[in-house]
This record gives sequence, C-alpha cells and structure tokens, in this order.
Amino acid sequence: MTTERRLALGVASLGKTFGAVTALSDVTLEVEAGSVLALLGENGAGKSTFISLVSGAVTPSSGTIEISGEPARLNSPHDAARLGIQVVHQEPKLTNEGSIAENIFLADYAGGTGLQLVSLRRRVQRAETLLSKLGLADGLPPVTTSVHRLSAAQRQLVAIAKAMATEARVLFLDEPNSSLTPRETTQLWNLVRALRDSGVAVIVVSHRLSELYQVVDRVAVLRDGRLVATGTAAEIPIPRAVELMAGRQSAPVKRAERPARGDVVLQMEGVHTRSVHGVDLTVHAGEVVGLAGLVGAGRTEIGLAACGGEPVLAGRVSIDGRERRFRSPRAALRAGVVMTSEERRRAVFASHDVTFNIAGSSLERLSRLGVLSRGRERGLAGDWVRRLALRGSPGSPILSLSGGNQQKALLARALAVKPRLVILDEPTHGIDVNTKAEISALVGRLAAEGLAVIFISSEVEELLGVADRVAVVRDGRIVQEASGTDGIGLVAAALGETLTPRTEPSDRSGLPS
Amino acid sequence: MTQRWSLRSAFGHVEVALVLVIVIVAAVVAVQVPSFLSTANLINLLLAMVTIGIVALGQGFVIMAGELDLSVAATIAFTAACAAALMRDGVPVWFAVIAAIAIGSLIGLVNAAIVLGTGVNSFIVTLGTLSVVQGLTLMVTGGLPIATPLALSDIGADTRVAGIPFPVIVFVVLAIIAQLVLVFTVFGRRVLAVGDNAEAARLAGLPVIGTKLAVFAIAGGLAGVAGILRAASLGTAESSAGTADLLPVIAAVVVGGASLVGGRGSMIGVFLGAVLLGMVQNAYIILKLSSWLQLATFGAVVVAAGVFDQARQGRIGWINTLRDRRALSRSSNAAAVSAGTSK
Repeated sequence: MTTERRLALGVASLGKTFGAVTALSDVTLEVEAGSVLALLGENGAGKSTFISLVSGAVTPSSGTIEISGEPARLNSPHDAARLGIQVVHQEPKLTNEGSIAENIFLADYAGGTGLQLVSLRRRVQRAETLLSKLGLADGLPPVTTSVHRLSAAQRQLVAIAKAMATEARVLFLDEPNSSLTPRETTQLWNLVRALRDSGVAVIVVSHRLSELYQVVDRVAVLRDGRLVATGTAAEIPIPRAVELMAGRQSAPVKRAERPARGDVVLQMEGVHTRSVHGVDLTVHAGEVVGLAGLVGAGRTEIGLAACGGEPVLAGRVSIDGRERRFRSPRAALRAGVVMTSEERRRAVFASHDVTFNIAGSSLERLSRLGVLSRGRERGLAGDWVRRLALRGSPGSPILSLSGGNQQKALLARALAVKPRLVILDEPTHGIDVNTKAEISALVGRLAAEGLAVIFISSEVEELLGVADRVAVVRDGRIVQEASGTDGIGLVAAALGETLTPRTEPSDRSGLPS
Repeated sequence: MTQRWSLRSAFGHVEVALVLVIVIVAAVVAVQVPSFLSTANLINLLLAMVTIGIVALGQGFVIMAGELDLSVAATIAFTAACAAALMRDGVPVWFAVIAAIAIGSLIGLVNAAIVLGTGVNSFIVTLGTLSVVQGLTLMVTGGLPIATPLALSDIGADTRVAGIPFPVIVFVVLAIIAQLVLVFTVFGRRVLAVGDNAEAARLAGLPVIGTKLAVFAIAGGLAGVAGILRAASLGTAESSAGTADLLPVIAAVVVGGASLVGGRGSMIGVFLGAVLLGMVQNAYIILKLSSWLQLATFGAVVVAAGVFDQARQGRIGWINTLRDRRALSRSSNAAAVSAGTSK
C-alpha cells in the first residue's frame, strides 16, 4: 500500500465509434503508477480500441484522457510517446536487420536533420546499461546481435526495453505471453514486477488468464465496448472474470465420448525436412494428436512436412498406408490432408467475404467444367456458418469479423474439403475463452466422426482438454510422447507449465513490496 | 437516410463511379463540341482504344493475381512484326495470326517462369524483358515497317459488321469473356485468391504456380491479338517498338478499380477504364488541345486513380484523423447542448 495515490493514467467517458459501429463507449478508468492492471475481454470487446485511443493511434469520439494528472490531447502515437505512453504489441514492431541496440534506440533516429553522425559504440554502451538496469542483460545475446536471430520471447523483451528507453510511465503489453513458454513468461513477469516497483503503470492484455493472474494487481473487464467491472485480482478471480467477459456462465470443456480409434491415417517415418530431423509420428482415424512444445520448436514444420508445405528431404510419409511424396499442399489436399495456418493474417483472403474464404479450397468440387456454381458455393458457406455458429453472414467481409470468427471461417475452409486428416496450427491463438471452448468441442466432435487431427498448441491445458495423445517437439524432433490425461499431465509438468487450478488467483503476499 | 446509404454503397462500386465520370466528361465535352457524341466519333473513340483495351484485359488478370507485366507493351509490336514477317514469307494468314498469339503467350510464359522460378519481383523481370522484346522487334523488322497482305485487312478497322469496326467487336467480346471468366470460373477465383494472399492460397491447396503461369500467358496472348489487329488496321507492322502503350495499359486497369497489390478488381472496370482514357484522348483531339497535355493528363489520371482507391479503402491516415476530429467536436457540441437543455 502506498500512502500517496499517484495516477499514471485516467480516462473519463472515453468512447469511439467507427461509422455506425460503437467500438468503445463510456469507459472511465484510473490506473495508478506502480501497479499492474489486467485488461480483459473477449475479441471485439474493445481492448484494442482502448489501447489505440490511449496510445494516440486513433482519436476518440468522446471522453477525455489524463496522463499523470494532466489532460492530454493525443493526435498521434508520437504525442502519446512524448507523454510516456508506450505499447508493446503481440508481434513487436522491430526492424529485423537492425541490432538489439539499434532497435532499442530507434527513436533516436526520429529527431534532427537526419545528417547527424551515429556513434555505434556509445549506443552499444547505452543499450547495455539499460538492459542491465532492467535486469535483462543475462536473458539476451550481445546487443549487437540482429533482431531476426532472436526468439519470440527475446524480441518481446527487446520491445519492452525499447519502450523503457523512452522513460515510459504507462506501458501496454498486448498479448505478451501468447507465444512464450512458461519459463519465458516467468522471466517476462519478473521484468513487469521490476517495472511496477520502479513506478511504471503496466497494463497487460492476455487471454492466458492463469499466467496473467500471476502478475496483476487489478483487473478491468470490457464487454461489448463497455467497462463491466474493475477490482483487485482477489475480488475478480478467474472464473468470475471469465463470466464477466462472456456475460454468462461459461461451460466447462467436456470431452466428447469417442469410439475406439480407427485405422492409421498418417504415418511419418524418419521424416527430415530443412527444420525437421527424423520424426516418427502416427495418427489414427478418430484420434486427436497434440503437438506440444515451444514456439519455434518445429511443430509447424512437422505439420508442413505432412501436408506438402515443406519438401521432405528423407523419410516416408504415408496416408492410409500408401507412401506419398506431396510436392505441394495441393497434392496433399487431393489425398485428404489439409492444414490451417498459425497466423490468421497470413491465411485469410483479406479483400474478400466469408463465402470466398470458406470456399477457397473446394472450388473444383463446386464447379463443372471450370464454371463455378455460385449457388452451391453460397450453400456450402451457409452450411458451415451455421455448423460452426460463426457470427457473421456469408456475405460480410472477412476482416469485419472478430479473430475467433475469422478462425472459424478458416477451419470451415479446411473442413469443407472433407479431409481424412486435418492439421490445426494454433487454432485458438489469441481468441477468446468461449470461442476457444467451442473450437475444442468441435475438434472433439469431428474426431468422433472419424477424422484424424493433429492439434498444435502452446497451451498444455488446452491439449489436456482435447488431445488423446501428445507429442512434445524440441529442435525439430519428437522428444516425448504421452497418452491419457495422466500421461499428458506429466508431460505438462515436464514442460514446466503450472497447472494450478484456475479458481485460485495467485497469492501475491510473498512478493517483494 | 436509406437513400444516402444506397448512394454511398453505389459509389463503393468503382464501375458505377466510372460510368458517372464517363457521363460527366462526355456531357462537358459535348457542350463544347456537339459532334463529340455522334455515332461516328464514338466508334472512332472505341477504335482508338482497342489495342490498349485488349492488352489491359490481360494486364488486369496479371495485376489481380498480384503481379505486373510491363513487357506486354513491347509484345504488341513484336507479335505484329513476327506475323507480318511470316506472311511476307508466304505463310497463310490464319497461321500467322495463330503464331502471333502463340508467340505472345510464349513471352508471357518466359516472364512467368523467371518470376516464379527465381522469385525476382515481376516489375524488375518484365522491365528487363520489355527491353529484350523491343530489341527482338528491331531484329525481326530490320528497322523498317513490314507491309501486311491485303487479306489481313479483313480483320482490320475498315471491315465493319453492322457498322461497327471488327476490332471493336473483338474488344467488346473479349471484355465480356474476361469478366465471365473472372466471376464465374474456378480460374477467376484462383486469380483473385492468389493475388490476395499467395501463401494462404498455396496452403489452401490452390495451384498458385499454374495460376500465375496462366495469367502471364493470357496477357502475352492478348498482346498478340492486339498486335495483329493493329497491323491489320494499319496495313503494316511498325518497326519501332515504342513504350507509348505502357502507361495507358496500366492506367486502364488502375482506373478500372483493380488493386495494384492484387486480389481485387473487375474486367468491366478495366473496360470502362479504357473507355474513359479513350474519351479523354478523343476529347483532346476534338477540342484541339495539345497532345503533350494529353500525355500529362494520362499520367495524372493514374495517380488520381491510385489516390481514389486508397481513400475509398479508408487508408489515408490524415483524412481519417480529420474525420475523427470533426466527429469528436460534433459529439462534444451535442453533449454540451444536451447538458444545457437539461439544466
């Protein structure tokens, strides 16, 4: 408890409309200096809009913003940065070829005539000083290393260091832990605590509530663009937060009963690609096999090897007992193997509608002699929109949908080809709790109908809920396999994921005050 | 309210906006020179745009698939020269025509093979092959125009069907076919999908390479068609292979509303874009304005079309900020007013 209450950020009646759509309305919120706030909400609840408004990326339609007690008018991110507001995005905006030091002090290039000389040595020294001040010196390679050689976690840390180089007083972290391993997340939270103790207000957005609750002091929940609750982490424990976010009681994930698994659909034997080194993997009909492991461990690449996305250099890939050498995803598609991509932005056809996106892989089936039947195309899209309870009409532009619903459209695209094997790469990455549960339930139902599924996820809890078997991937190899709830639990423990019950907010009393 | 919305959504369609612009331009010019709207002049106007229009249809496929083919501008003259040389050496006319189209397609396939095989940006590759094909044209012609046989003029501008020059009919028919292909065939869907997001299309099992090969081949083939029609109308195949057609071809596609980064566009738009450019060109002649000014206007129209497209998609940051600020002041005014009345 600090005796003096210092407000780092205060917003009053903040609102934003885009045309006829109200993205945020009447949000009044105060954030104290030296505290960590969790900003919670489903996709489309207004979290991103809130961040955009406070960081000057978007101008508000109504309301006021106060920074450190002073009314602020933010016309650009530059204005906000000058007042000490910084945002670190899910995928940090760093220049790939630049070094760590260069990225940290990128803002130095902003001023002046552009003709001033750059002292590399001085910048390296300043970067080293900053990193050691933040306690990051050990977690990162030398500051002259190019950013493109860093892991996702390291990039995240560099982005935070970059924000702190400008003496930020309010720091937004947007989904900082979604690509991190538990150990990396712990390191990140240590940094967040250190920043808090030095008086920074940190506002974290994350869908991984159990991890998030390890670090937050207060919680604010947005729903449909309105602030529905604020309180301490103890006042709003995770189950309550989930209810508030959804506006209803959330159903626990129930595993569908599945018949005994069927014949072998996919068999990989000693498969090598550029980044996969000798993988053996078998998936049966009606079985969900989870691929666990760190981001960058080679899980996606194993999927790509199975679906023709990456050339197989050695080893065998067999589908239904027949050896296949897929030269492209198209060849795999014909054999009934499809994969959905990890990043939605890379997978959607952005300038088209939901129907176009769903029908993308099924065009041949919907046509005769090369002429597309638009009626059948609409029928197919309509069916899947209903089946997946996709919120959005077949004719609406794909980008007008929330992330979770875009993901459903991509699932529909894959499933519409009636595959034998579907490879889902992080299908619930960055989407809200309820849609996540819906997708898990859907995968269970599909497996019960005899589909073979490879489910790639960084969240062991999620795999626990959906997979029959889990293979742990490290450095392009499968290092461990486990089946059954207990076995998967052991794998989870080995991975270091804390499977603490979701009902308990973390105990904060033991932390340094 | 509903009317305003429908008007706005109508403006959302580039085709509707283009028709309006065409009508306005025509009205303005016709007020000055009434003969502008005479049937004879309108036919002339279309005839002048046949070459550019047909090549723009091919370029439309290429641009919508997310690539660019600058070399088509040179392929027009090259295919005409090849056909003329073949006919001069006694090859039957029909064979020379087919050969010209095939040669055009082949150039397109070579471009595509380099682009797809190496990943070099198609702008760079076709900028190079543009010059290569120009050089080849001079080699074939030896620097002198080659006269085409009288038989070829059967498909030239002087041959009229129901009063309409044959090349104009070819252009209109090709435009209709191109639009039907784009909208109603699997191939058309693939073009738009590949142009929108090639990696997504690949993972979704679409034949990305096949589709891109096809669009380049179509563009080259249509340049061949355009070259033959031009030679048939002029009675000769020109020796010099200028790049005068380059800008108008891309202009027609861009003015027609196709996104330069691919994935979006329509062939009706390309057709209307070509008509609008033809109209501007014709108006300058009729109004006896400088042809230099006309060149400058074409360039300005391309830039304007690009800006219009960007604005239409709400991608111009400072315009958005101005609008937001206006909305904010309006809403705070409204709040002040309502606060005042409630007191």
